[in-house]
Amino acid sequence: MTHQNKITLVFLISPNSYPVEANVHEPLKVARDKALRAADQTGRPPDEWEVRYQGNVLSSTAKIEELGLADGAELELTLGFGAGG
Amino acid sequence: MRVDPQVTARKFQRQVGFLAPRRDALRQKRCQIVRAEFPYVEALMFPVRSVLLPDVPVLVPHPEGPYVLPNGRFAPGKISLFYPYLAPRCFGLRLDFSDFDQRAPAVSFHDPLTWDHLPPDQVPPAAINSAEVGARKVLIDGHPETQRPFLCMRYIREYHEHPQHTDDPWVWYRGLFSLPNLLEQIASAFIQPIPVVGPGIFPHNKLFVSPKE
Repeated sequence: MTHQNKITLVFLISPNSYPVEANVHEPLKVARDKALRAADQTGRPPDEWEVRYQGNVLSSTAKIEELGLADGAELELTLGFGAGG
Repeated sequence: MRVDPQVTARKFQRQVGFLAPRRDALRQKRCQIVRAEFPYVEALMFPVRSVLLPDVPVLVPHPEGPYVLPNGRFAPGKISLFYPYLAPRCFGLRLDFSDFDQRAPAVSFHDPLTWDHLPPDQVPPAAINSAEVGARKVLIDGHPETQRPFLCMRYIREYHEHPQHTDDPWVWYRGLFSLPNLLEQIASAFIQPIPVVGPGIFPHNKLFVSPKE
């Protein structure tokens, strides 16, 4: 039986990659937080991390299906620029 | 010098290699790479903003207006002024990768022809806008070490080595560094909306609107 709602997103946290199974009806941040736990990157609040796809920053509160991410999509996960002197 | 230049040069070349597939995206953000020779990456920045000034007080023609001028009667009114293109001057951006990646790249602002350092009043304002906290000014004048304007942003040497950011050290970020991401973020800071008038004058900070909004 196939799970049509499930896809695999590959989070790149330099220099490693972390495949995460994600439900397309869930916000992206659910998968993001799974990837951060898998990478043992738990020292900073998850919301400080930015998810980029093909160079664009994605909204972590948007649902995966709304973002149009396909199975196997590679997402870059990096700490945000946190600007402001 | 803190790092063997050969080591730094290899790490520099790796980052430069990341630029190729992102050059078009950078151009869309009005950033053109013009040089990438160790230890420098240099880009020309062409910041453009469209400007909307809402509710500007003016006198408008009115048949019963209290002000009589040679061309008729006028009353106080308000108009909105929209300038589709307001172009601050082009400037050169230099990233110095000396000692990378024990130190973050240093970022400085230059005349695009002579590559002399620009004085602070000739560097366009920069800000980053987020839904959570609104617009934040990120171009700050007078770094305590360089005495030059600097960008107060993570992944930049002037930020991580600033006395006020000793609690946010570069070592936490250097493994995540991406040159194209940094350039895109810098370019965005020069084309995103910024507040230039205080809330006491205009009660919002949406005066400046970037071209695609």
